[in-house]
Amino acid sequence: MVLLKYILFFVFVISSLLFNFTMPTKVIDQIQMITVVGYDPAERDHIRGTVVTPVFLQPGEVEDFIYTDTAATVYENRVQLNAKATEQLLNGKIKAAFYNQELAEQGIENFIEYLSRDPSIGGAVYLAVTEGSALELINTAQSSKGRGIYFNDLINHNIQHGNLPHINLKEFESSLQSDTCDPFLPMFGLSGGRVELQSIAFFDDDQYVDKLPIENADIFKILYQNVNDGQYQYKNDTYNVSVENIESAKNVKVDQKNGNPEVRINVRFRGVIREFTGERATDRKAEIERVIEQDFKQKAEDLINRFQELDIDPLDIEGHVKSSNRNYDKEQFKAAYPEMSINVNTNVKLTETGTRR
Amino acid sequence: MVSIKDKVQQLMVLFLIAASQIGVGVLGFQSIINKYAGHDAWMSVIVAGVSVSVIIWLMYKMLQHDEKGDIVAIHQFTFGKWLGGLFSIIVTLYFLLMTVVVLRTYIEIIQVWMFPHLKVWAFLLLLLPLVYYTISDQFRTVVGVCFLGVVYPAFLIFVLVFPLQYADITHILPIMDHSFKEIIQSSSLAILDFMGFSTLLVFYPFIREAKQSQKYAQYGNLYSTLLYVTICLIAYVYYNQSELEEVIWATLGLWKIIEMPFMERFEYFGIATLFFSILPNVVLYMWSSVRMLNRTFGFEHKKVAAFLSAVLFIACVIFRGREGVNILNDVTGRIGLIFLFIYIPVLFVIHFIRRKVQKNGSS
Repeated sequence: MVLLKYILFFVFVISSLLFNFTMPTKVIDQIQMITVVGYDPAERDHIRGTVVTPVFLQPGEVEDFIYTDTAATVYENRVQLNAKATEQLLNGKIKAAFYNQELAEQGIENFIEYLSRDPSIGGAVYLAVTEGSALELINTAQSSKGRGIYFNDLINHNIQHGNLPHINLKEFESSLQSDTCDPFLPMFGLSGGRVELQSIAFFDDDQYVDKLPIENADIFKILYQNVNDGQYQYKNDTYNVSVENIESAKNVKVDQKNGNPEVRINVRFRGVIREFTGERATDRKAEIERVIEQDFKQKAEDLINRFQELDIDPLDIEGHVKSSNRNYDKEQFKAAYPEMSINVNTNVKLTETGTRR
Repeated sequence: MVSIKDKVQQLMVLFLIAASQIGVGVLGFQSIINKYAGHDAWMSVIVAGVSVSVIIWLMYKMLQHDEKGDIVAIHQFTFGKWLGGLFSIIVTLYFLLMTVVVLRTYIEIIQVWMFPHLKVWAFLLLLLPLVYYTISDQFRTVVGVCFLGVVYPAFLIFVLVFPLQYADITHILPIMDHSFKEIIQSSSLAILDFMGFSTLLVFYPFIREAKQSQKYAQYGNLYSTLLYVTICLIAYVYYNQSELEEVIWATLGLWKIIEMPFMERFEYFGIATLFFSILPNVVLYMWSSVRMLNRTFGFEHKKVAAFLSAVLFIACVIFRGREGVNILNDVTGRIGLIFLFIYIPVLFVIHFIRRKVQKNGSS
């Protein structure tokens, strides 16, 4: 009886392994991992999909294959691309996805949806809009690291230390789904035969509506999130000043005035002076701080006014109003938003002036 | 009577209760319980935990009066041989259905996240010897599995720190934006994840000095409630509410954001580890149904175990796809709610009256 039990166990396990053995396998030499995808509009409601897959020639040497074709849907496109590829194309390693501006104007939700549905794709994929053709942009990018790592690093260091706010698939998807806020994405273009991060593209729901040059995006970034390592430049007739190593903290306060919400965004940041073309920075720190505060407040309120005119809300003002008000009413907010009073208070602290006085 | 040799320490009740409550539900309950209470649904989990605690107290009150002390004995005492037997069979079927739900949902997760081509029946052949091995012999084996099922996946809680960098506290503000009624309604959905503790009705006689073990059962419930509340809160600050409506497995979705230099996708590791918290559910429910059939009809334990394993196999193969699993989950959820919050209190009252009547009659 006991023997029978073990024989049965053995048969079960063996047959289980045997039958599941026929499952399709994915051997690393027999697949091509896509690292970058790009989508452009094409004729007759079609899209042109481009994928990049790296092939490792020798240690440290990567050659990218680029496949491109037009089709009606993302996966129809994949069928055509597979027809060109020597090995099966798989999604698991996607690092960056690019969307042509024209496509973004029509709405890109349909081309992003599959990224978050596929369990093999993580939430940290970088999305971006391209000013011209995504195919051309991908073609232009040349790097010994392979395009996947190249774009990943390019976007990543701009998020860590540059003017680009924290944005990836998870965060884009989150603001896209959200009832309260509108998403944004980095926008790339070509300049002098090189790929360049040019601006931040703002969306109304999933449709591209406006852009902000990356040089001016520091204000948006400081308003949007707590910055760990940012920078801010200011220039007037007498001097230029550049504040680096900014650490900022923001909080949003909502007051109710006669039933209308009044929003105050308080921004506090600390930084050190890295460039100052005037005289005696150490003695004039307080003055410079005031000037920068004024400048920042002005620019920030201009930016917010622009958002209000476009009726988009990338800063999630509505989310803050909603979460601080039990009587929040969506219709009422929507009506009031373009005229809403949104003030920015800034507190700048310059801690060091570098190695010079 | 269960011999002292087969009994387990009181402390093990903690692991039995905790392991039975933490199962497949933990992977996706966040987007189910917010149906009524929205972003306040994490409070419903606390309400659910407290009400489970009350039910555990009721169960102990009921069980400690009987020397054999399990639900079959209570049924026979309360309803007599035939009616009691009938109720025992219904409860057995409920446990068996729960086994199917847990196992089938886990297999679905494997199919969606890891191996879309997995042959369910062939996978079950691999699993069933393990289940049979665990349930066919002594209860201690089941307890061992439950102990590991709590200890082993516990480290996964640390992994939940990663999603916190995307946390936005405004998603759960303002607190108490929903009425008490809505929170209670949502808590009735949250209860579904806690239902495993009902096996206490069966394994009670296997605990040494079971009467004093209630505090461990309550600690076990406290542990799983805290775990659920933590996971729920993390998911609620990570996702916004409209995003939650799109995701099926919110907890697994939290892992999508994790990036480690040596591991591209954490879910593969996580899902594999979660097997250790699924297995206690499966074996505990299975063992309970086997034990109940054994107690009601006196069938040999091993034969019943083999028979029910075969039933489990067939049932798991029959249910297919998202809809099948969903229907299964809904139905068992409703049955479980009736079982715990209507049947158990009613049984308690009838049992209480019956006991009083008999005491008066005998004295």
